[in-house]
Amino acid sequence: MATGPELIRDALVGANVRLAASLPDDWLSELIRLLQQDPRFIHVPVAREEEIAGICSGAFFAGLNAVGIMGCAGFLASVHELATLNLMYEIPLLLLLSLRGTIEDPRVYQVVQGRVTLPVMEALGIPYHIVERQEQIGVIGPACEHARIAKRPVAVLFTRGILASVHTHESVPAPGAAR
Amino acid sequence: MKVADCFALLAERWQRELVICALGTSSREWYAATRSDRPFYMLSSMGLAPSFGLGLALGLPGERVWVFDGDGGLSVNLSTLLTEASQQPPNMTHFVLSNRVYQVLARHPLGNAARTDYVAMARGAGIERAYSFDDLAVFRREIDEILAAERFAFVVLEVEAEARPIPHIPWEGPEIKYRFGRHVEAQTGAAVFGPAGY
Repeated sequence: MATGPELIRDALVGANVRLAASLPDDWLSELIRLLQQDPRFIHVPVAREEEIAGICSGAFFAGLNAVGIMGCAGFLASVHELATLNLMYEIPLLLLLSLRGTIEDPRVYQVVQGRVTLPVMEALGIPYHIVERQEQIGVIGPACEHARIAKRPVAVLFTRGILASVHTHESVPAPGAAR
Repeated sequence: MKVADCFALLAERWQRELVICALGTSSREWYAATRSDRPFYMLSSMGLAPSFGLGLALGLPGERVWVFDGDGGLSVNLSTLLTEASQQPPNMTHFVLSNRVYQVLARHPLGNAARTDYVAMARGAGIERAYSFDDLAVFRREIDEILAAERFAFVVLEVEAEARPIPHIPWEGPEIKYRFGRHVEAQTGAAVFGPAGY
């Protein structure tokens, strides 16, 4: 049975996404590893999440579907760039994020991201969809298309279980176990 | 050197290159030199012009991309040097107008302005073809070979800050998007907006 990261990769291929720009957090590293080794993607590892808005917007003008992959902290760091490039110029952008700071997240430094990320998206007018079950991963294709139609970023956020590199949740430490 | 002289020299050589201009001096001086609606003028998002150019260059390997950045923009997105170094698309040239001030902010000096060596920083990131020019005659003599090499290049132009009025870009976000995108479509055949126009 395919893992969540494998299904996400396959959904990106199905959506004809050709370029991925990413900066990992500890939940996203398996997905990013899959994209890095897959020749169907131009993968651009960045050093700072703000670069992702620029790289993916440039790829849009090359006629490529592109995806930006980062954690909630990276999204919050990129708010100015998303606002003044993607929103101001009406440039579509598909974002895949780990949904951090929820009760399944043991990291104390992610709590504030969990509290503010979705309200910030709502304030910016960025549509988002939360994927909690593998059968919901198929939303990636429609999200990519919606970004083009709406001419703005659209975010898909994944829970910890979805991003785990094995199918079962048994490998995911209980909350509080990984401090 | 004066930006206007450097840009006049480059404008004479400008053919199919897709041009990305950073906010402020880069956009307004290139528009003053060319009066063209073919570039992508990035009127905000300070620092992202080279990132945008990188995505464009990687997606259109058959086209040449020129990025006109400022040293204020580069300073706010120094990590772009690492990302560029890791990719080094051979069809991209990253120019930096280094006037050591925030020109549109009443020429307020950049932090560390007297000491920063952008070429050394680029080379430290792993960009071998990094050049700096402070003499127009030398720039004129050497730029053709740099541009003809079809390898990634980082070119710093040490220029004077300007006090003269420079025109604004007469378009804003969505209009720049569609003018630039339609130009890319017409020149390259890339399907930027798709059959339904979005």
